[in-house]
Amino acid sequence: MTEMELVEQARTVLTRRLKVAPDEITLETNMADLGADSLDLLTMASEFEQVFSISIATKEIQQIRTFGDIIHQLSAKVGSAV
Amino acid sequence: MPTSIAVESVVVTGMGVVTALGTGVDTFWRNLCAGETGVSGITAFDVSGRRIQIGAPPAGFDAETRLSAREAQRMSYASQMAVVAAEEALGQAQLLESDERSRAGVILGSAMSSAAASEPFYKRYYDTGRVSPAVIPMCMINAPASSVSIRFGLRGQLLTIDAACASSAHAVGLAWQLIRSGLQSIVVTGGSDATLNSVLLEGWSALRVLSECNDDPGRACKPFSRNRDGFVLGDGAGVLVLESESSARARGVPILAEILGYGFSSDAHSLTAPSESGQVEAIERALTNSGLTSEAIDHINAHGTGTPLNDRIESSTIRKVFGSRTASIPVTSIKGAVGHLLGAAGGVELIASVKAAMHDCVPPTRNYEEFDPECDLDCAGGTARAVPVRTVLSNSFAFGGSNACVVIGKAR
Repeated sequence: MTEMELVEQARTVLTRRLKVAPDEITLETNMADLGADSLDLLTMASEFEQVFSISIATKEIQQIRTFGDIIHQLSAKVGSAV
Repeated sequence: MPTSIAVESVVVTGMGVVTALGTGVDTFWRNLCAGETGVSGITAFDVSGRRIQIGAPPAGFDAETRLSAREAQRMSYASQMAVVAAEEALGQAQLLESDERSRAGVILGSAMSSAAASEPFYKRYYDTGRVSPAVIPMCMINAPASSVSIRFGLRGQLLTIDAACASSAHAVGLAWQLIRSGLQSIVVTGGSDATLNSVLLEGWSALRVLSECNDDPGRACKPFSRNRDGFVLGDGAGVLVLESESSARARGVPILAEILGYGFSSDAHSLTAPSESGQVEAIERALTNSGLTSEAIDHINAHGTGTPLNDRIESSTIRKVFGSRTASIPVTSIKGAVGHLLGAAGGVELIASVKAAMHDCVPPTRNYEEFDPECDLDCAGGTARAVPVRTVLSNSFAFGGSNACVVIGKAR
């Protein structure tokens, strides 16, 4: 999977869950600014696990602040260099 | 609730439990005080490869030895546990052989048992397109309370309370109100819940509130401990017979303890996150309705789930209500030993609270291992303590923001 594919798939998960437009999401975007609460983060983590066939630890979810944090974690797990 | 309408004192005359620490109050209490665990690897269904592989199923519970094969066949697991716990409670209250039980009400809490009971029926439907006619009567959320009413001929108020983890504490609170106001003289109350189910386990797992300590189940749930990582799901039932003091004295039955008061609140905040202000309000109402101040509480049976957030907020709540007395009040969570029984948790924890007052004994918080500055309480780690227990506050704080607190007093 290329870097761009990973970012786009992750962005799709966010737009579907948080009902925001794709162009509102950059690597620097703070999840709280998108209205994401802890339940949203857990739900999206569950989707990421399914979409990318990976496992995300509870502590990793708790460390997420920005979309860039998500991409950083996902790329480390799916082997994409971002 | 103005105290001016109070006409009856409310006492406990019977108790029964089904828990991972045993079936029967004496076994449960003995194992709780001994610091035993009821948590183990799940064997009821395949958990291989799952994030969570542990639970707290009932110990010593075999429905088919307690119920007829026909009865057991027609009841959900939660109904079976409710009936077995109710039989013990009614027996202790000397009501099994008494016609007086027909005036008793039944108000039981249950939260997830309906969803758990539905799973095999859904599976069969998706596999075969067939649905059993048993699906509705077995899976309706009021089946446990109705099963108790039917089995023992209890013809008073019949209700089921679903307020998630505070269900059975609210059930006891409503029973207290009915008896106090004179509308009922006897109510069988508490709760029963069954949650150790394949789909629900995955749901709780996805919420990341369950302990992942699969390799050492006995050390999994660590309430208030700095190294806590969540709770363990448990199945069980806790049933109490509440009765007006005048009824109990007229019948000449032993009084185990008094229900002094009940307080409630809604956080109006979040479906999943707790709120200090809502919890404080519930405790303060319980104290006010008991005619007590915070000075009078000797022991707290905490909600104490063992999740990082719950225990931090509950600790802050307790500090806010009890101020400088906080360090002198032993706070126990029994969830490290019996798991989190969700809709039955409050009932079982009230039974532990009554036993604490009866025996002047504070049971230990199993798995309390490391001091957490954010849970700056006397968390009752180690072994059971022999100390005077005249009053106990039992906290139940639910998903959805429903809070229920009950104050127990030693029998006079």
